[in-house]
Amino acid sequence: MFRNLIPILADKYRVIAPDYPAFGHSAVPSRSDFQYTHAHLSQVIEALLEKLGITRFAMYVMDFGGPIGYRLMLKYPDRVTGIVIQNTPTFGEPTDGPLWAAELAYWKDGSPAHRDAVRSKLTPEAVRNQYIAGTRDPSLIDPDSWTIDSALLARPGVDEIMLDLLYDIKNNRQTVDDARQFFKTHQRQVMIATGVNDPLFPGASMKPPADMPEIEFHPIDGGHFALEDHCAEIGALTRSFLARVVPT
Amino acid sequence: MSAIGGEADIGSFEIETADDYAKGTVASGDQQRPLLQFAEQGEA
Repeated sequence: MFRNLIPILADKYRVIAPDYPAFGHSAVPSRSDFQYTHAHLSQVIEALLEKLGITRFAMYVMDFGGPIGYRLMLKYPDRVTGIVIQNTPTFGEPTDGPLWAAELAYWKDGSPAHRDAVRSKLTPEAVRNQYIAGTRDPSLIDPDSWTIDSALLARPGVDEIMLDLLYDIKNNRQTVDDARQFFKTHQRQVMIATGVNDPLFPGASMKPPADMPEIEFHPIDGGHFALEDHCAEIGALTRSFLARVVPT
Repeated sequence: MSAIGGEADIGSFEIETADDYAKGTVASGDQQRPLLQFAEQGEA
């Protein structure tokens, strides 16, 4: 997802784009050895930053990365120079929509039946749709994206890990609430550039409320993976934002 | 292979960087790859 954004920023900034455990090409510790929660993934990223000696940073967060990055931001508010937010839980309650019905039932009781119902979100068709839905020109979305995602999802045990993480979303509410308070008091350190046609996190759920007028908000005419077809646009916005918030 | 110190408690999970991998110091299970892989570009 970030493969095209990295070179747009790298002439001026050191850009680190980690694959969480069980994502991308990172290893896949078993569920018995590793707790797949947003809180734990946040600790892994914290450990990575420690290992790299990074004490001040700006973040770009998206989807699962929102509640993971928010935890770091709330734990170390003085280390964060700025945060770019795209298609992740922010201001609204997008889980009210019909697309979240299976998850809502799953979060309620965690039952095997409701867990199984959420598997429909992991099929190749569902993965492809997540890339295509809300885009004006699907031909601009590289089919490698959903093909690789589906291949990685098909590795043994990864589906169960994703179901664990989808279940853990229910535990992010306090973090997202706290993040909103942070955004309110740090408005000039926040930029939102988000695909407003995303059925999962639509524009209305990403728009800052009236009492946060200094947050930069850029509605992008795209879907969930807006960087796939609007990378130049979001990259330029990100460069401009970082030039403002990152001390030189 | 480097253990993680500091404040982050991630149990027995270890982070091995691309640098470790390039130096040939990493052998994670049977996969011969870093546990946590990341792209990095640009100067520190």
